[in-house]
Amino acid sequence: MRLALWMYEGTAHHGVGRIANSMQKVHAVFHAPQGDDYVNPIFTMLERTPAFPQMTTSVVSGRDLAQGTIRLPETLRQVEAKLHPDLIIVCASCSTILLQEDLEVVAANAHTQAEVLVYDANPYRMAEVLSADGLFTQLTKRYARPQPLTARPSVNIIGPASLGFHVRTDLICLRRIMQTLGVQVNVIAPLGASLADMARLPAAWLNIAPYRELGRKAAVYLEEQFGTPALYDAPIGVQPTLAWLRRLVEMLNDVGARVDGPAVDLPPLTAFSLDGMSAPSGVPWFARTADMDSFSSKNAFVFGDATHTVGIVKFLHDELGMDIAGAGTYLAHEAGWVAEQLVGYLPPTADQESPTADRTAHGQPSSVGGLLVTDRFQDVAARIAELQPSLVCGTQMERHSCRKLDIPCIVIAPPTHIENHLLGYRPMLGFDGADVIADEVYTTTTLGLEKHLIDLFGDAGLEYEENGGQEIGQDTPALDTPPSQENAVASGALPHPLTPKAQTPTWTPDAQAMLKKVPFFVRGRVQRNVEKYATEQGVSDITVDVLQAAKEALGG
Amino acid sequence: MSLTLAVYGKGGIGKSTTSANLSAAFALQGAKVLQIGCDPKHDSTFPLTGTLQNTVIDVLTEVDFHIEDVDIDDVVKHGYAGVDTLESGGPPAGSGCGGYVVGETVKLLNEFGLYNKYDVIVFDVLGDVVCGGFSAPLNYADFGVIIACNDFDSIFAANRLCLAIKQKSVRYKVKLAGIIANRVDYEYGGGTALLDEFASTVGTEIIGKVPYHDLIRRSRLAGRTLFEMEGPDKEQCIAPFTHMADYLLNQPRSEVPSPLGDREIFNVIGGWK
Repeated sequence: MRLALWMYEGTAHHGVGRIANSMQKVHAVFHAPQGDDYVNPIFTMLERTPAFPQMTTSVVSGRDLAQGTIRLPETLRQVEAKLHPDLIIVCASCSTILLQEDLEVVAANAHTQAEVLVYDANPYRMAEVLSADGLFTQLTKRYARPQPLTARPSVNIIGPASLGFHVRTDLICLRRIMQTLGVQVNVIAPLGASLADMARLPAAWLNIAPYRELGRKAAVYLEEQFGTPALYDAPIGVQPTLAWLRRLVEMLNDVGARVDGPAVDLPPLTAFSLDGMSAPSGVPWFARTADMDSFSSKNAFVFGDATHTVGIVKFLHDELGMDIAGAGTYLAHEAGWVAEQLVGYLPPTADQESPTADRTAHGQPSSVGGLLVTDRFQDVAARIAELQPSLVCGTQMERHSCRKLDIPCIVIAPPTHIENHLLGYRPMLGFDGADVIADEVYTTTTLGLEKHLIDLFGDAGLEYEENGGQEIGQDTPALDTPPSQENAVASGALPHPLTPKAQTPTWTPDAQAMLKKVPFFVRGRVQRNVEKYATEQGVSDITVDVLQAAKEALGG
Repeated sequence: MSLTLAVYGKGGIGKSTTSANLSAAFALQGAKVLQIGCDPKHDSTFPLTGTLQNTVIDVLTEVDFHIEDVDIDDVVKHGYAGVDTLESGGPPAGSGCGGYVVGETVKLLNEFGLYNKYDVIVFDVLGDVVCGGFSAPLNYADFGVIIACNDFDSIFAANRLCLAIKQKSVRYKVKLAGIIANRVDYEYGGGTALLDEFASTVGTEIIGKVPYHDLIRRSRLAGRTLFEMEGPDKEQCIAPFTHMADYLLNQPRSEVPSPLGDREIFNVIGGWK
């Protein structure tokens, strides 16, 4: 293990918390020291759901280590008395797993009415994603019961979970699609599922498991054990959603033919639009507009989990016509699949010549088919700095890195942030998801006229937070503001609030008037660049001529 | 000058008996000595005090684990020749974490400022360095001392202890002061030939040879140091301790050992006599 400022994936017991917190009347108990309960507040801070997170830490203290005592049975009894869960999932944290205790035996001593499942999540072998997926698969195997199929065509939606990336709005989108098709949603799991719902999983005609990270293994099990076919693709982008819809209808009708059930028809595509009369997504038209023309020469770098990295690379390339500068994932165990999906999308393996390419030892970035595979955010930031793409699609950490690099960035993959748990409708899947992502790309990337001005004057004058305060102080009041007193004090000079700084050139009225014609959002930057130019040239008065000369010199 | 020793050796080799007699020998030469038993079995200081004293864990239990309520006098007892004694204690066998307790005790003593109050501190640590907790005394020790007999098993364990000391010496000041040969059987020709060979191979030396004598066994049963015993050959039994105390107090030679690999030692030891 390694001390890190940032982890793309949480620990194994965080993965357990995500599953327990998703479900009805299921509670996780962490056998862990005080410090390892940091996972609990993550749920309250980010998701901000009305209920308390369904997890409790059974604190292991120095006394327990010194005397061999264990609090767990008492915690289990308390959890049962207060919350009456149907199932309690017990797991050790990274620290307590070192004690090699037999928690099965300890938990059995609690004699609770609720079922207790001790989940062996070894944090030295697995992190959040494998732990959550492993637990959900285990629960599916434990509770799914053989039963007849529903009378009407139906699906399970498998994979949405607590703290998932935009999963609540993905669900809204998928439910709307099912409603439009007249297909019943049998069970959604783990989010909102009770143990009884888990038992009903095999009643569905088809499983939808769009997330590579969670639910796919459970769907594979249901397919093997109960013969439920599964649709594993993620409908990200317009064409993939269309293909996904056709496949869904086809698979449901295969089942219908087998069980002599009702058929499903694909309605006109306008039925999938929110207003019921337009095309279901604006992306195909939008991509052909003049606005979008300025995307054609732009390139993007994509980094994230497996599902979203693959989906977004294809969407940017196939539907927005952007070039792909590179891509990567922090999920090493999915790197092979991601690379296979992205064959033909990634630039010819330029990075195999880079010095980082052959560092494949543990914790070092490696390259799989031109894909960057690393869980160190510094490697990702270095790759972005090296590629200087026009757009980065990444996690919250890439958003952070890109602020420093001054590169536009949108967040397309977990881990989530408060901003990924907003109240509004922002799905990633389906036609609506395509619209959301396209808007995000459009409003984030620098475009058209804006780009022209930036080429002219350096940048858009839109400083980021780090120096935002200074920006407001210096630039928003117009040209005749006296230099700020703080600046003088801070630089050690005597405060002379009424005396302008000797170096600052003065603007003549006609030059001022011309400056005011510059769009407001770059005016401050233009003003500073021209003043800098004038100072360098030893000019004390900025006239229209000086302004013109500055424009020439600065590349205009 | 203060001197901190960490005594290690294979289980049952006589670490506690040897440590207690060595502590007594230091004290009889006028040094202010603290012996710290770092074994959950907490019987290290028995020969010095004649009792199984309260451990740090016993005391913590009394104050409900409020470490700020622990007074140093609650945990430090006084034994033969003015030697102060302390036992870390630990959880019942097979539960909790013994290494955690040892590591915490060693840190607690640091918080109490105990490392500056004595001329000599002797850590008597359990058999082998099995985890970080049991290596904690090496973070404070000037010297490691290994107790071994003239047999393969204890030499194999000694080699592993050399590995632990070598590893620690990368970041800490600790070096190996030498090997104490225990149960040297002069009568039946046991000698120390294997041990001599091992010591020169890893780059250390034998700093004392304690005879295999019934007086030592009886002293352990009686809960006394050798110095308090009466019987034939007493002088012969005491002499190595007095000599070692004198040697260790006067800036002994010490080295970072060059241990053999675990497999290597199997191959070479057959050629020794």
